[in-house]
Order: sequence, then C-alpha cells, then structure tokens
Amino acid sequence: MITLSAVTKLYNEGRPNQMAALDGIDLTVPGDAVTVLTGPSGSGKTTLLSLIGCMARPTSGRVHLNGDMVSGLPESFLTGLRRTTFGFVFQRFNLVRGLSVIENVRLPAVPLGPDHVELTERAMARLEHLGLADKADIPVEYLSGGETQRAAIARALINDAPILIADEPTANLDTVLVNRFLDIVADLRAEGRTVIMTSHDPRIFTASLVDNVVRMVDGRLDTEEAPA
Amino acid sequence: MIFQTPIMALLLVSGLAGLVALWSAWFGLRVLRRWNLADGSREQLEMERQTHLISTLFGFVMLAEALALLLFVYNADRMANLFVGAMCAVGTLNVNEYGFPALYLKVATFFAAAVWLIVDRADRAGRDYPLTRVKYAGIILLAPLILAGGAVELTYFAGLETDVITSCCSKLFTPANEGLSSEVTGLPPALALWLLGGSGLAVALSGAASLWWGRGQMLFAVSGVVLFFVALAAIISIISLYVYDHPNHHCPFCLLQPEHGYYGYVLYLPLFFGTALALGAGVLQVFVGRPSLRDILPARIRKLIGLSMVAFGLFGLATIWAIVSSQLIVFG
Repeated sequence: MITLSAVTKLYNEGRPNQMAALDGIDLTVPGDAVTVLTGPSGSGKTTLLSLIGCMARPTSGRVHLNGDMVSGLPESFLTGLRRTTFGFVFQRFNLVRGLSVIENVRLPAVPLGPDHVELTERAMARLEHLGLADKADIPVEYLSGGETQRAAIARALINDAPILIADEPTANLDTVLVNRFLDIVADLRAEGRTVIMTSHDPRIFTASLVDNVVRMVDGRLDTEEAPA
Repeated sequence: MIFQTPIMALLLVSGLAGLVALWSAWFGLRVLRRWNLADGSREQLEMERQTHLISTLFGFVMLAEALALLLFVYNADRMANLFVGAMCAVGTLNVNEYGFPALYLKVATFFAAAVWLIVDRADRAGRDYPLTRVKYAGIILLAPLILAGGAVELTYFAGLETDVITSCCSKLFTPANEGLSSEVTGLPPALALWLLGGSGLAVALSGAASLWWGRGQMLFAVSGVVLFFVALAAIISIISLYVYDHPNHHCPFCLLQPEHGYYGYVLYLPLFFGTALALGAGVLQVFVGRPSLRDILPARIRKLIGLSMVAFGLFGLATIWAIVSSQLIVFG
C-alpha cells in the first residue's frame, strides 16, 4: 500500500515560471490491485506517478510504502528501492537504441551484479511469456509499437519488482494491442503484482480488471462524481 | 615568502575550509533547531536535500584538511634552508610565535576531520539520517577550530621573515632547558620504552577483546589515544636516538628528512592513522544503539578497530626496526 500525505510538487520553484504540478494530494493506493490515474493533460498524473515510483521527490508532504517513509530516503536507498520494488514502463518506452531486445531487458539488473547466464535465462523467460522470444537478438529500433511496449514491460519486470508503474502505456496503440496489454496486466495481477498506471484512454480506465480509478484535475484529486 | 607554491596551496585549503565550514555551520544551526523527520514540510524536505550537498562538500574539505597536515609538515622541513639557524622543521616553525600553534591546530583538525568523516560515513549507511544532527553539531564545533587554524596559519606564513635568526631543534629538544619538549626529552629511555610497550599491550588486548568478544571498544579508543601521546614521547626520548645513531639527538622533526630515509613518515603516518581510526571507533560505539544502525555499526566498528590495530602494528614494527637496525647502544 502506498500512502501520500499532503504532497505538493512545484516545478521551477522560486522562479517567475513556477508551476504547481501537484497541490496537497492525500491518497492511498492499495497494494495487490490495479490503479489508474486519469485526467486531462497537465492534470499532474505523470508527476504523481513519478513521486509514487520514487523517481522524484515532493516539494512538501510524504510518501509511505507499506508504512515506511520512502520520499525522504537518502539517494542511495532510493536507488536500491527503485531497482528492487518498482518496474517502470515509460510513455515513450525509452528502450536503448542500438542494443538488442534482450540486452535492453537485462539492463536494469546489471547494477545488481547477477550471474550472467542466470540473468539471460530470466530475461528469455520474460520475453517468452510476452511472446517476444523470437525477437530477442534484434535491435529494438526494428520492433513494432506493440512489440516495443512488451519489450518495455519485460524490462520493467526483470528484477521481479512487485509494483509495475506505467505511464500512458497504450498511447497511440490500436484496440487489438490495448486488449493484448490488458491481458498482460491481468497476468501480472494473477502473479500478485500491483499495477499503477496513468491513462486518459477510456479503454483502460473502464476495463473490468481495474480496481481503482483516481481522477485528477489541475494538480488535485477530482472528488466530484463523473457524469453518468 | 608567502608566494611559495606549498604555502599558497595550504592557504587555499584553509581559506576554502573556512568558507565551507562557515556555510555548513550556518546550515547546521538550522538542522539542530528545525530537523524533524516526521514533518513533511517544505523546509524539512529542503534540508534533507541540502544535507547531502553540504555533507559531501564538507567531507571533501575535511579530507583536504587532513592531507594538508602532511603538506604543512613537509613544507616546514623543506623551508628550513631559508632561515638562518634552522636545521629542520623546528627552525621553520620557530621563526615566529605562530608556527607551533599552527601545527597543533592542524593536528587537532586532522583528528577532528577524521572522526567527522567516519561519523558522516556511518550516517549515510542509515535509512533515516540517524546521525545527521550529531554530525552537524560536530560541524558547529569544528568550524571555530578550522577558522582558528586558518587564521593562525595565515598569521604564521605572513610573518615569516628570512632575516630572523631562528633556533634549531637541538635547543628545543634538550633536557637542559625548561618546557614540555625538554621534559619529554628528559624522559628516561627505559621508562619511555616500558610505557610504549605497556600502552601497546593495552591497545592489543582491548583490540582483541573488541574483535573477538565484541566488548571493550571504548577502552580501545582510550588506549589508542594514550598510545599516541606515549609514542610521541617515546619518539622524542629514545626512538629518535636509534634512528640518528646519536645519543643526544632527540628531534622528532629531523626524522622527516631525506638523510634519515624519511623514517619519520614511516613512524608518524601509521601512528596518526591508527589513532584517528581508534577515535572513530570509539565515537561510533556511542551510537551503536540507534535502531537503523544496529545491524551496521558493529561490523564497521570492528573494521575500524582492525585497521587501527594494523596501523599501530606497523608503527610497532617501524619502532622495532629502528631499534634493531641501529648502531647505537643505549642500554648495557
């Protein structure tokens, strides 16, 4: 369970172009569930996701993970936490061009220094599970949109992270690929993982496997009921 | 005189250390007054971010200050040929009344810096900033020492006059004169060696007890400090005689010269490092009960004590080698 207490996030603090991306967010994101943060562009979804995933620190307020304060951890501990607890799927996937699919998938595990053979087996198992085993050795720039997305998910899960964080994972994907993605999320839930993602795609936040939808507007939680 | 490269380097380090110490101490006052990890306020989060920057900066400056002691001593010895009457660093330090105070402040800063660096490293090992208040309180205490050291050093270097006739070490380290150095010089050689052996044994026993049974860490730290002072006295009283093969040459600074094989560095470096590590182990022992450090500190203290014992052991070997390889017969 992730708890946010009075979290604010300012960008360009103290400058004329200061902007409050988040303003006093109090939120509990349940563990062992699928949560979607939704809202219009600029509502603070990605900022909130980056704070939940410990990729950024709040300007004020605290983030707790299973009761432990994580937003104020010293950087070395935060790095360790990101490596072992969170898997990230970025909006543009951010696979490293020039490297093969399997090299990209292995990448987040390299700093932990695992046995190379064991790591490669683990990466291949992930790719196989996501139907990408035959693409393992080709450079990532030759993948299609859906394949790139699945490669990014495989990379996010290489350290066996219990929480998957995904930022607009289905942007620009057709319905077939969205459904394929939802199947993957259902598999992840079946494995007992927590999934937290941002999306303004109704095909995602209205999906039956989504347990929790958090609506946002202008950096705040939108507590008003959505029109029927 | 002040425009000598080593002097400029030393003054640069002191100036930088003074500025960083002032800034860090100012920030330290905020930490002592307002630090509250349970609070998620903007100020607290800002302090959490800044503490990394300031600690890192202060740590680098402290490392530079610790190394500056070596350069200060080396430079004092190197400049001896510029002053009439000076034969070694003693003559250079005696050119005006600020030389020895500058050295003592540098030595004090060395040990304080070493302990602070050890505490800082321990603090970074804890998830919840367990020693942050302690290390910033340390900075507040250290800042006046650093500033005083820099001011005295600047006054000393600015007051170096080549037309001053200074006194050489044989005048200072002779039992015939008055003062602490003369009294130490007059310490009977046999007593000095017994005291050295006794304090060395205390360090070995308390160190062994700490490593094997996990007890006696504070005793080890105290023994280490005692050994440091006894060792300095023994160097002046007897060890230097063996190194020089001379029954009346007690100077602890001529040991640093090339004609004596820079043997002083072989003696002083392990002695200073051993003492600094012992002090660090003792200080960390005070905080061993902090919840987030409970699993980390005992191993660290053991490592510090182990390294300190190795350093003291090297000092012991250097002492024994000086005695057995000497042509001088003091006893019998």
